[in-house]
Amino acid sequence: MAKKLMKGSEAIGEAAIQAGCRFFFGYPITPQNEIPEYMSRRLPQEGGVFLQAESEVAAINMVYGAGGSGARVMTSSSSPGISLKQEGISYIACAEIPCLICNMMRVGPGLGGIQPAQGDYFQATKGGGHGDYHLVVLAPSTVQEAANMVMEGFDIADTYRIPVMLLGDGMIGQIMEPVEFADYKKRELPPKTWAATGWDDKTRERAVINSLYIEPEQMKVVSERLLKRYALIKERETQVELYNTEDADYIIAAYGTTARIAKSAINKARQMGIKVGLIRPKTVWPFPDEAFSKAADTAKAFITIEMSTGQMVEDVRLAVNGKKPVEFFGTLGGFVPSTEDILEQIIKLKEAHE
Amino acid sequence: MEKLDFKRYTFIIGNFGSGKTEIAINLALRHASLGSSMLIDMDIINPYFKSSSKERILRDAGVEVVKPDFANTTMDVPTLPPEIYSPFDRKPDHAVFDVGGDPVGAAVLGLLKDHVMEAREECEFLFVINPMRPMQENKEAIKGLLREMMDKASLEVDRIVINGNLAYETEMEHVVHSEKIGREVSFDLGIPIKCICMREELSDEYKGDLPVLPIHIFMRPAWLDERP
Repeated sequence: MAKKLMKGSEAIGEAAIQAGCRFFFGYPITPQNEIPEYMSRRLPQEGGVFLQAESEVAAINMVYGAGGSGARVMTSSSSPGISLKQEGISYIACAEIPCLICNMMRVGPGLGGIQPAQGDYFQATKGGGHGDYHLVVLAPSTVQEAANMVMEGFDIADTYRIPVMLLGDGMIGQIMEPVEFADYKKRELPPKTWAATGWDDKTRERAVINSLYIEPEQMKVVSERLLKRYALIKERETQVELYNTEDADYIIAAYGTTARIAKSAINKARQMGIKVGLIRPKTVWPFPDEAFSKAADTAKAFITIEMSTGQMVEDVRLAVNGKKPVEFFGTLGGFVPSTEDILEQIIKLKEAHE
Repeated sequence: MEKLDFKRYTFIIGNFGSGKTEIAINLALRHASLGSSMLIDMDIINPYFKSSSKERILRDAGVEVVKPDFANTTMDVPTLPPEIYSPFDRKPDHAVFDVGGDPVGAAVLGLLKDHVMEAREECEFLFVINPMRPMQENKEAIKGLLREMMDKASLEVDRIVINGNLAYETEMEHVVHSEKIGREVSFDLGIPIKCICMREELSDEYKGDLPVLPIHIFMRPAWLDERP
């Protein structure tokens, strides 16, 4: 299929459809309305269901239901809307239901504003809802990558029976870039024998979708199973991009749009003779600790750049584990850093850690 | 090649992502080099990339900018100021109305209906097409959107503007392909073609016979199109 010029939000919608998603439940919020808008046009053409729910709380519970019956299902929202979905996400994680949740982050806290931000990193990677659980969190930095990650995200969700989050900043949802939909190559997936699809032939155990475990022994079994699965995911699904890191004295840690601007600044710094590289987590959970601890053996200093007051920087510091200094630079209010902003930070980092 | 003239009031409508905003900015700047020029940003559906975000460049070039009340803030309140009517009283040499994408965005044109009816001879409604956009790949899809927008905004489209592009990956083959589809739409609907747009670097390569409006890109941040 030839390339098309697509908004990130549209590409996310199309990728979901091509990956076999036929159910979308959501509630509008800027800056991701183009996802439901696109789904509302395209899903009926594919015999699917688009439903605008009465609220985010309702939408995530519809996802729970559809996912529980074995369907490929997604929802999308932006920061305040994702907060409303947290209870449902925790239930879905406990009930081990695969689904895809897109968060196109806008600036907060509170209702905040509609400009891009990366302030939901903690929420996405450290729980968000109550209880002991994780989501797999994919963080695209281009429209093409967003499309690819949606397809892969559904497969990861089905492989591990886990909710997957696509964590983009508003910019990823709004920019337009050429996108190509390569033929979607589905992973080998386990059959959904657990799905509640009826019990007419009575030849199997009843499928029960549940997140309530009154007996402590039962709850413990579930938590231990999740714990094991998270370890497996960490081992198998961690993704990271290294850019100009081999000889780097200085390392930038950034994800999403910020990583992209960092690359532009790195290109300029390299022309000035500063050996700087980028470690870009593509999965922010599981976090690519190893890439950082390895780089800490040779690099002189790190800086994390985010559109937030400093969230991923905590994971970078844990991974670097005191071996080298880890600085931070953040933009607030919904402002996107410029190439020059980041270049200035690189120069400062070099001067401080010669 | 045919000379490219514009009426006093140009309304730019089309699918979002068709390139309306870049065209509006380029036109307003071109008009400013010839006389008084206004740009009316009526886009209340696009949260990030509005023509009025380039206000400084436009004002420096002598373009007067009218924008939505909360444009370029973090507010998401889609309202337009009374100044949108001012071009009809003040009659600048040229005024360009950058209308939001899709039928939803075009609905705001209803506000100007009375003013347009009074000055219809001086108004030109341009429908921008970009067949590189999803659900706009062929003439039937484009005709469907065009009809839907005309219904929503209760207006007639006067001319088609062909603006086939894949952002920074646009090559002459995309321009040529888009021209073919644009001509089909034009033929089927009996709506003439106003011009064909392309990045300014490409315009020398164009061998066709449509008037060319070369486009200088304003809206894309440099880092977006940088390749290592």
